[in-house]
Order: sequence, then C-alpha cells, then structure tokens
Amino acid sequence: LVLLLAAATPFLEAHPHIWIDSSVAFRFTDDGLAGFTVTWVFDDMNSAAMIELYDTSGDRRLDEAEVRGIRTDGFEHLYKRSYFLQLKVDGRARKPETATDFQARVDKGLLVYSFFVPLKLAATARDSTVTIAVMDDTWYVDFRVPEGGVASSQPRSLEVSARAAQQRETSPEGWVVNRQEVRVQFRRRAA
Amino acid sequence: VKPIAAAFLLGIGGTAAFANPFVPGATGGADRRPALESPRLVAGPRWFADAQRKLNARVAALARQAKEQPTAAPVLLALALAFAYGMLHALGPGHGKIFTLNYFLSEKPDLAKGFLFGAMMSFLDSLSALALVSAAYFVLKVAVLEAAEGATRTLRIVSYLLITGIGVWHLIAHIRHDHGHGHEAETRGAGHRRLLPMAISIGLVPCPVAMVLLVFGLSLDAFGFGIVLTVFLSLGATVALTLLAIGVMALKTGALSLVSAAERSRVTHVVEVAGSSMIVLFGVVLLASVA
Repeated sequence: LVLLLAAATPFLEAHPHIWIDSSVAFRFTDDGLAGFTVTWVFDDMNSAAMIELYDTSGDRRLDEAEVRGIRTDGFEHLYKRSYFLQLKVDGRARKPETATDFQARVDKGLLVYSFFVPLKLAATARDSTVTIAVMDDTWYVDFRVPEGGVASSQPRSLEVSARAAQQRETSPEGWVVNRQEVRVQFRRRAA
Repeated sequence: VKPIAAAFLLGIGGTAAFANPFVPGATGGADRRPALESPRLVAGPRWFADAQRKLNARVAALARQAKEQPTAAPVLLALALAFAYGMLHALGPGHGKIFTLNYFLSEKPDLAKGFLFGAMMSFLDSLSALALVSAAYFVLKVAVLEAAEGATRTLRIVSYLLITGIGVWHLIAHIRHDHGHGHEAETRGAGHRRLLPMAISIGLVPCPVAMVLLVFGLSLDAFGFGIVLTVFLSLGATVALTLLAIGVMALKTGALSLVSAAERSRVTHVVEVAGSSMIVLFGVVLLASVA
C-alpha cells in the first residue's frame, strides 16, 4: 500500500504548468568536447508571469541588474535539481558540476534563458557518446526539444554527429517513461 | 487588511516539491538526487502533453491577436480553445480527481450532485487564482508569482487538512450509519451537506494555469479578457470533472447491480467506507508532501 501511495503521489498534484522548448548546442575544441549550451524558451503565458516577477523596471525588457536578479533568485538554486539535466557519458550517469554564462532575455514576448554546462571529454579513436535528457521529475515543467533544437560545432580534427532521439525507459515504480533526449557521438578523425 | 493579506501571501514561504522551480525561494531542502537515478515520473502519453502545449500556445497567440484586432474570430476561437485546454488539463494528473473518485464511491449516486461538484471545484480554484492575482497585483502591488508561492503552500496545507477532516467525518457518518441501520434519508441529507465543504476544500488551492492566464491578461492590458478566458478554462474543467463523477457513479451502480439484493446493502456500505478511508489516506499523504 505504501509503495502504491508513493507511486501515485505524482498524480495527485496537477501538472504540467510550464512549457519550455529546450535546445542544446554542443561546443567542441580540437581536443574534444568542452561542454554544451542549453537554451530554454518559456511559453507565452508563463513568460508574462515570469517577466512580471523579474522585470522590476516594468519596461518588458531585462537589463543587466534584472538578469543578475534572475540568476541569483531564480536560477542558481537549480543546481540542486541538476538544472533538470539527466546526463550520461558512455552510458554512465553524471551530475552536471556547474552552469556558467547564464543569460536571460525577452524575445518577441517570450522569456529565454541560456547557460553553458562545462563537460570536458577528450576525443579518442573510439566513439564517445553523451546523452542529455532535460526533464523535471515532478512534471511541473514540461520540456521538449523543438525542431532544429540540436546543434554542434564541427572541428576538422573530429567526427561529430548530434541529434534528438526518443527513449523508452521504465521507472522504479514501473511507469513507462518516454524520454526525449539529445545525443552526441564523437571520435578523433583518422589521420 | 493589507498587512494581514501580505503576511498570508508572503509570510509563509517554503517550497513544496510540486511548485514553480523558477521563482525566488524555490530552493527546497536538501539536494535532490540527479533525476536520472530516480526517474519517478511519469511523462504520461507524449501526445497528451503536446496537445496541452499546443492549446496553451494557441490560446496565447489568439489572445494577442484579439488584443491587436478585436474581431469576433480570434476572440471566439480563443474562448473555444481555452475551454478545450481546461478540459484536457483537468483530465491530466491532479485537480482533485482522486478525491472526486473516492467521494462519489462513498456517496449515493446523484447526477445533479456530480455536476455541482465538478462545477464548484473548477470554478473555485479559478476564483482562488483570481483573488490571489488581484490581491497581489492591485492591492499589495507585488509580483504575482512571488505572492503565489507562499499563498499556495499555505492554502495547500489548509486544503489537505480540511479534506482529511471531511474524510474522517464521512467515515464516522458511514460507520454510525452501519450501526443505526435504515437511516437512508438521514445519510443522504448528510451527503448533500458534505458536498459544499468538500468542493471548497479541494478548490481552495489556486489553479496555476488560471493564475498565469490572468497575469498574461494583465501583460496585454486586457485583464477582463483574461478573466473571460479563465471562465472558459473552468467550464472545460467542469465538463471533464462532471464526466468523471458521472462515470464513477455509473460504475458503482453497475457494479452493485451485479450483486444479489440481499448482499447489496452490505457491499454498498463496504464500498462507501473504502471511499471515505481513501480520502483520509490521500489527504494525509498530500499533507505530508507539503508540511
């Protein structure tokens, strides 16, 4: 009964309430992966509510001080939730260490966040694979990778392919989870 | 009044697990484990989330269009889609469905009661959102989301306490009914009296979708239209919750018709006690999740 209740608890609360388009752009150097930039575009209605909260000057734009306010009050604490990033390197889970270069702006009325997640991985002659699923496990926020939401730099020394993929997994409680993830594969180009 | 309202809206902070994670104070307690190690969710059917995402975006786009060119077409379409959005959203997780289900398991089937219950729950959580947005924006002049976090948590605690209390009241009434056989009319009357407190208890927690829709209306300088959209959102939710209530009652009646007449009274009593017990159990679970 306890297990049943624990499994059912997520369904007792209404959700989702926030809709975010989440894009990922991988950044490579000649030696391998340096990290990736995540961009979140909030839905129109929640953008309005968030802008009302953080745009203290009321001009419906975000100046430097307001962006700093968002970073301090509304973003930095997300490290506790791994920035909603479920990261795997060659199949093994890894927690993102930090997020840098946080930016926020208003674009055509929509609130846009972007930040860089450092993830240094040297390229070898064999394929390395990094997968990223952006997911709120309370489903208050629904993330989706939009069309064209995966990009990557392409240094000449490396072979790189990046794409979005669907993944079916089963949670410990037995729910089937359809995970949308971003996957990048890279290796050192043969001389 | 203003300081009391401010204390209520802002004073009791903290964050439940199910709360907007992008607002100040949303730090929660201890670090959560990386979601990958505990993917307890639940993405549900992808089409269900995508349909809501599309409806949300279309309602917003049409509302903008209606603001710029106030003609009938975008206004009517926005209202129709707000209705569909409300219906779909209410069919998703939450919205007191677990209590609706158990409440109607524990009550005598009554169609009018089903509709009343659905309508009251849907409109009350939107009314609660309207009161919160108005108090924050017009009276306290603070950001709505900032006010919402504290107030929602407080209202959740009150709501779950009331639900648990009403569940206990239900349970006692059913057990007493068992001891005092034959007081059918009395129990039915008590059931009607319990309907309003139960619906109020569930509807007390403001619907976040209604809240952001109202703030969106404010951002367009069209608060009135935001309210009308919220009414249609609630109408959609009413239809969904009424259908659920009628479905549960039909299921209960159908299942009981399979039982022999001699056994029916006893089985009905067991089902009703089980329904009340589940209300108490889920009330306590939810209370523990926010307290």
